[in-house]
Amino acid sequence: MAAILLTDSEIDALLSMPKRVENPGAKMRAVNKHVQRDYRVVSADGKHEFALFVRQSAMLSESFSVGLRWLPKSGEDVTLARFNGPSHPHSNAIEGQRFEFVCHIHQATERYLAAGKKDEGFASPTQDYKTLNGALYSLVKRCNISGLSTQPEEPDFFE
Amino acid sequence: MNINEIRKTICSTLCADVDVVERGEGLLFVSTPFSFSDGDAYSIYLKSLPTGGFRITDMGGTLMHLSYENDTDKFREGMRGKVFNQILSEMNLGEDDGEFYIDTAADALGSGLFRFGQAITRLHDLTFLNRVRVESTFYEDLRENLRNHVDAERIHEGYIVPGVANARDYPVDYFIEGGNMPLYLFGVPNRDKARLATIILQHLIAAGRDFNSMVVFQNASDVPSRDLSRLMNAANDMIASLDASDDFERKLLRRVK
Repeated sequence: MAAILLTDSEIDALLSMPKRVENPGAKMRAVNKHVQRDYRVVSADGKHEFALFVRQSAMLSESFSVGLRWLPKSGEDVTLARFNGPSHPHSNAIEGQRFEFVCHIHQATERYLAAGKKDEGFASPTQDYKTLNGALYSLVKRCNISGLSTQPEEPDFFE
Repeated sequence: MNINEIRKTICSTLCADVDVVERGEGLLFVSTPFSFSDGDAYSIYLKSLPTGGFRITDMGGTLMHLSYENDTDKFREGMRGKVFNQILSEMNLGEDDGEFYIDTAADALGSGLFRFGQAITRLHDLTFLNRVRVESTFYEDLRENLRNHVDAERIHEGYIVPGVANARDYPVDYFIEGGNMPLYLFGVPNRDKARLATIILQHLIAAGRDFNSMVVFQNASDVPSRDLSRLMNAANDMIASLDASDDFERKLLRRVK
């Protein structure tokens, strides 16, 4: 649970404001049974700092995640959005909704923060991506991040 | 409802909440009510063991999940490292480079799954020992310690020293009345606060104020030596940590009585 209470419009403003990756050459490194890459991100006006993280399981190709955390000057970080692979079921605690093995997007919401639940406890199923690279492309686009070269997912013509 | 009916209800609802799903390449995902605080289900997989029975494994998913918001290397250091190892030992949880597992006989699979879920929950709770939360606890403990020794009406938190230029930019954590001179006390949980306390003290000294000062560290050994030296030069009394309660009481009361 984050100590900072944000409204939905404040969350949307943080998600949508123009941002730039400061270390686009960050290397992927192996940590235990996954690989990870961490980017530093700063808003265009220089007022806000963020962390963009990329994770891929080394054991399960469908287990991946990319996310954006807001790093406020004081208080606890807030995970604004996280784009997950389909490796696990997810349940939305407030809505009582559960979905099985599908890609899904977590997003911080005012109602979860106000209820004292995890920032990004709410998630929605998505078909926008199927791979880690596709998830990264989608997140960079949604969060208005520049300075990082990402590619949209190739369409699957056999599907 | 009698005890047999209650037993039957518990058994049937427990079974309804658990499912086993094939996820390819002979891997079985065990779907349970166990989930992280963000609503994502725990990674619980079954692998058949050549000797019979099963390996219940997270396939490395727990530490990957924790790595979204934490430096997982820190789970193996200091106090967190001690708790981490204690959890592995108490829960009989095996680890292979960040993959957690329990090997169990087929007829003990149910209890093994419960134990595995409990173990993952305990590992997840290590996140409560993060820096911001520990610092917050430090300030709460400092406030409580002060109130144990000095009447509340003599303690002024977030004090702005009157008659000092730009005083609002140089607030004092605590002004404590009662001594020959005002006592200005600072809590210092980290390097940044050590630097800030040094700047504030130097500003007040430059402004020609007469006061005593005390610095209480969360853990003085965590502060880099150069920052520590500068702060030592600026402050009168120092307490290495709140664990030094007798020293804290002695130094505090000497200044305010």
